[in-house]
Order: sequence, then C-alpha cells, then structure tokens
Amino acid sequence: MITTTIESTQTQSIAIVGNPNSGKSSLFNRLTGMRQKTGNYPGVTVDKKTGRFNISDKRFKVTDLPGSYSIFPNTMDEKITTRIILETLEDDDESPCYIYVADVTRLEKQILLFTQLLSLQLPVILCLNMADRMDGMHARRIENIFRKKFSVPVVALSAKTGEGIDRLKQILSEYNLEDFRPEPDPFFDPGDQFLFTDTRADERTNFGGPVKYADFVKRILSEDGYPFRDRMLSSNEAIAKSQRIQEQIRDTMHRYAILDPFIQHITSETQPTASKTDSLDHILTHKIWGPTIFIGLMLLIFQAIFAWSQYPMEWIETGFGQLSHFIDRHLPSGWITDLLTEGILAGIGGVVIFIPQIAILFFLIGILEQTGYMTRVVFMMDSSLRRFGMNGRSVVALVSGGACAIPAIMSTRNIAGWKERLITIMVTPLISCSARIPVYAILIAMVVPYKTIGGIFNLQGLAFGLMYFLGGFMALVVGWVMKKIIKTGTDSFLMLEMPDYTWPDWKTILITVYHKVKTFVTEAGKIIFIISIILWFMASYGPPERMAKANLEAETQAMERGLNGEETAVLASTYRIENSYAGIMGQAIEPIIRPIGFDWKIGIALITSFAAREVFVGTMATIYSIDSEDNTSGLRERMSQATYVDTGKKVYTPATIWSLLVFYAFAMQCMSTLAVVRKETNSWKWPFIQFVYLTLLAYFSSFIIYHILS
Amino acid sequence: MKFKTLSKAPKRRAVTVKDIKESPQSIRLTELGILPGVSIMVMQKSPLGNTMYVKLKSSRIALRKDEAEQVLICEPD
Repeated sequence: MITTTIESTQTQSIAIVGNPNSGKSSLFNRLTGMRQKTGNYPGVTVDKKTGRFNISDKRFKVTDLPGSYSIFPNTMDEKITTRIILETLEDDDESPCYIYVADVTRLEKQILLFTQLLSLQLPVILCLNMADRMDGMHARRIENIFRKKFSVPVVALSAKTGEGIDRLKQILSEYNLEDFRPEPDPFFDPGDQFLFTDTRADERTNFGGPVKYADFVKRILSEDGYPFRDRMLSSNEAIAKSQRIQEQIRDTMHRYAILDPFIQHITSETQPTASKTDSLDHILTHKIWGPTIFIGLMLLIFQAIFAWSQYPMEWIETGFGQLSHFIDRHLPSGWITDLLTEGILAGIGGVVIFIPQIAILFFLIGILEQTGYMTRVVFMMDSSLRRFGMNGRSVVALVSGGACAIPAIMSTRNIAGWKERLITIMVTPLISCSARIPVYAILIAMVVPYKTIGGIFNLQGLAFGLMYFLGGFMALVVGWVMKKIIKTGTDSFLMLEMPDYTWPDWKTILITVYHKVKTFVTEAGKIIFIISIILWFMASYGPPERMAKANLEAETQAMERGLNGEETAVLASTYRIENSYAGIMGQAIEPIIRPIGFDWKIGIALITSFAAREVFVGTMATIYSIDSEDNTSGLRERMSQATYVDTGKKVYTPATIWSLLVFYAFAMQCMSTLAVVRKETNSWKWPFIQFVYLTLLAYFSSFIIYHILS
Repeated sequence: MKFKTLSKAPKRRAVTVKDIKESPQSIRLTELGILPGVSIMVMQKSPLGNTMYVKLKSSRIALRKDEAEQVLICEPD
C-alpha cells in the first residue's frame, strides 16, 4: 500500500499516462514549460521526458510515460510504461500520483488503461482532454458522472488551449497521497478455471486472500516483458499460452462490458468532427491520390532541408570563418592558435552546421505527426516497405536522408518496432546526401562529357541521377537482406489507431525541435568534436623530422622554380599534407586501395573526408597544389594529368573515377553519422557493424566496377 | 447471414464483428475496441492491398491483412 509521507518541502512525483494521441505530451508541456529534459530509459532508446513545476510552495517532479493502450504491452514504448508502473507498485517510497489523460471525444478506447490502473489500486487523477470541443456546462456534467462512477478526482481540460489547467493544479496542490484509499474494484473478475493451473502462479501469489490484479498482470507477462510472444513452445507451454490469451481477452472484454453502457450514455453528445476527417481521408488515403500527395509532401520536405537550410548554414560557415580569421590575426601564430582556429573552432562549427537541417526536419515532422497525417503515411507505406524490413514511417528517414543522414537517423525514433527502426538506421546512409554533391560534381565532370541528348537530358545530369538511384536501390537491397538476417523473437504489429485530423500544437512542436537540437549538440556533438580535432591533428602534423624535411624541400623547389610567396605557401601545404600522419596513413593503405584503382593521394582524401565527405575536394586541392578549393576546373585539370610515378600511367582513368564515385556512394565516410547512430542505438555495436558493412560493400562494388571498366 | 474474416469484407459497408480468433494479435484487437458485437466498416485499402483502414463507432484503425484475418464478421445479406 501507499505509505509515503509528503512534507511540504518534499517533491511529489507525478506520472502522466494515457493512450498515444491523447494529448499527454501537450499537457506535460503545459505543466512544465521549458523546465524539462529528455533522456533515455536505461538500456533502450525510448525518450524519457521528465520535468519540474511548482504550485505555490509545493514541488512536483513529473514524468511523461510513453503512450500506451493497455497494461499488456505491444511495443517497446508500452513495455517501458508497464515496467515503470509495476515497479512503482512494489516500491513504496517511489509511488507517484498518476495523471491519466483521455481524449474526451474518443472515450471508448481511451479509458481501458485507466480501468487497469484502478484495478492495480493506484492513485489516479483523471483528465478529460479536448474540453475545448464542449461547452463548459457539458464538461462539468461529464466530470461529475465520472467522479461518481470511479471515485477519483476528475478534471475536464484542454491541453491545447490551457483551459482547465488551473483546476488540475488546484487538485494537485490539495492532493495528499496519504489520504488515498483504493476503492473496491468492479473491473477485475479473477474468474476461476484457468487462473491457477500452472506452476508459475504459485511463486507469485503467496499472498493469500483474493487474487490481486497486479499478480494477474505479472502472470500474463512473459520473461521479455511482453505477453506471450514467444514463438517456440512445447505443447505444455502452448496450452498455458492459449489459456493466458483467453484470460486476457476475457479480462479486456469484461472491462468493455462494464464500460460500454456507461460511455454510450455520455458520448452521444461529444461526437468528434468525424465527417471532416472522413472526407479528408477519402482523398489523403485514396489509392492513387494518397501516395501522390504524399510523394509531393516528401519532395517538399526534401526541398526544405536541402534549400531552406542553405542560408543559415552559410551564415554559420562564414561566422566561424570570420571568427577564426579574427583569432588568427590577433593571436601570435603557433600551434595554440592553430589548435584554436583549425581544431577547436572548426570542430564546434562542424557540429553547429547541422542545426538548421535538424531543426527544419523536426519542425516539419512535428506538423505531420500532430495533425494526424503521419499515421496515414504509415498506413499507405507499410506494406511496400515491410518487404524491405522497414515500416511506413521509414519513408521520412529515407527521403530526408537525401539531404543529410544526421536528422534522418534521429527521426527514426518514432518507428515502433526495434528491428524496423534498426534497419532504417542501417540503410539511411546509403541514400546520397548533400555532402556527396561536390564530390560527385568534380568526378562526373571528369568522366562524363557535358552533352545534351534527346534535346532535354544532359549527360552529366543523368549521371547524377544514376548515383542517386544507385544509393536508393542499394538501401532497399540491404534492407531486404537485413530483414532475413536479423532475428527477433517478437512479432511485428501494425494495428494503429488513426486520430482525427487537428491543427498542430505549435508550442509542443517548438519544444520538441529545441530538445532534438539540444540532445544532438550535447550527445552526438561531443563525439563529432573530438574526432574532428583528431583528424585536424592528423592532417596538420607528422613526424617532426619528416615535416622539417618536407618544409625544406618545398622551399628549395620554390626557389628553383622562382615562385612568389603565395605560390610557395601552396606548395608547402602540399608537401606538409603528404608527410603528415594522414599522408603517411594514405600511403600505408595504398596496397589495399590499389586494386580498386586508387593511389595514395586518393587514400589521404579518403581519410580526411571522414570528417565530412565534401572535405574530399579541399584535400585534393591541397594535394594538387591548387590555391583555392573553389577553383574546381583547375583541380580537375591537375587531377586528370596526374600519373603514377612507377608506371607513368594516368591515375584518373574512367575506371578509377567510376570506382571512386561508387565508393563515395556506398562508403560510411561520415563520423557525424556514426556518432548519431551510436546515440540512437545506445551502443557502439551498431555503428561498428554499419561502418564495416558499408566499407566492405563500397570496396567490393568499386572493385567490380574498376575491373569491368579497365 | 454469411460469415467471413474482416480481410474479405466489402468496402464502405457496415458489418458486425462476430468473434475474434485466438492469437497474439487478438489481444491488441480487443484492446482497440474490436470486440464481438461491434459494428465495423472498411474505409480504404492501401495501394498494394495488404493494409486496410477500418472505422469503428468513433475511431479509425489501420490493420494488416493478417491482423484483419483474426476478426470474424457477419454481414447482413
């Protein structure tokens, strides 16, 4: 039982529970404002949202539990909710007060979990959300009916408009857990025939007296926290399993049988604006129009991340450039200044540069989720993507991956099935992102003539299209293969409720965007920052005597050729990068990359472009002594003239260039993506597997292309 | 009266749920309010036909074909 004593100085914990789409999160935001933080539940990547607020001198700590339909979980989110409810049931010191949020326009289904909480004898405050759809008098009447029926505090409120929130706060400030006494429970009927027929029951129900609902629930859940999902069963187990299914169905149906007449009685007057949703769905989920509109919206999202983010990204780039220029001018030159400008500042800049894309994507996804459209997307895309081991929601990640894999992978959080989410994360980097464009541009210009065929198609444009197609195609192939390889013991479900269309709650969207950006900067940003400093060090420093010799050689060369100061500096940086640690590594991996047509200079660029793929162009410019990275035609010319020292043959044959293009299409050359995958899967295992498989895929594809073409 | 599974129900015609087969999916179906005696209507099928969108009294649910197969219905002829 609940024995917590609450002094006025103590913090009262509250847990918000309710179905998905009940307005739980909006209520959470209403109560906490910005005083909230998002973390992970231990061991899984389900968002844990906690926040704080005060009502006069009483302090509250509130957790927004993942949306759930029932105490018997079906998804990872629901499993967490059930686990936490059952844990707090056993832990007397930690017992929270529950706020149950139900959408008053859809009470029939939204009230099931509430009755389960009552049966678990938990202290619950019932919030009937969407009260803005009813007039005040009607709201009060329904409140009273519920209060009488369930003997719990009831508030009709609107999380969206804020009406009724004060009354909830009033109830909370007066609520005392000590006074809580569970009412007799009309919902749970222990029944007789099945309940104690197997051995598991004995160890769990040594309490004597009538069977408690908590024991009933625990008995139905199997070891993995789900109700009997195990596939391999002996015949005895199969019987036990079948009995448990029946028990559970009986329990659910019993609840509905009690609820139905009661809810019938009150909902007749609170019908939602159903017809509007129906006529919208008639078009938006139409066999032909539905997918067409959806593809249009996806292109819009792609365009938004791709084009709208250009300006803020440019501001960030110039801002950091000017800042580093400023430091360069005002501090004595030396390694500390270099570290500050080229290492630390560039590292921070490399994290901040992703913020516009992340913010735009999550803003748009927020709108799709909040209006209720996203569930229609899942409905339309589910069967096509399921063949490739993914889920309807994966489309958003795959499309936005065309701009940048970082926000795309972060967006997989609302894919319910772990396997489907994991496969989406694993294949998203195969979609050609915007960082590959400069690489493709320079390489395609070297190998494909600028020629128009058939009056409209430019050959180079077609080559670009081919590269994008290649990435998308490979993503589906890999998804299909992974679906066969990755085994999970659990079934995949769709059974998705599709809410009425509503206008988005902008405040909730903006708070989500803020938290997505914040977690990216603090978690993945750390790793990106550290690796970019390591990469900077490797490209700028080498063994001291080698570097000294390289500098000397560059100077002698410059003297012999009569170069001016600027040209000397360019030549010196060529010598330096060739003798840096990155340069040495590039030469070391040459035996490995020679079979796919790359020389050690390309090897250096492969290593440095791990910071970001577009760094390839800058590195090549340095290696080939091009004064500016913007001078791409100069760089192309130098590259096409390059020959092997030993054989005198050209380095950049069409075979090598195509091989390099394919390599850049497939290889995992982006530390930022790996950092985000590490964060989203909560382990180093998956980014490691992803890195290895993509590198092998890139290597062997390039190998085949190179040998076919040469 | 004809009996068949929900997966074979005609579009935009109200049918009555007769029974739910016993399977892991059936628990969630009942929790979503798909219960014997309830009136249900298929609103839309996905472009490839493997997913359907049904409407209950005040809610809409997307179901996969294998999930809809767990629901036995009878339609008035």
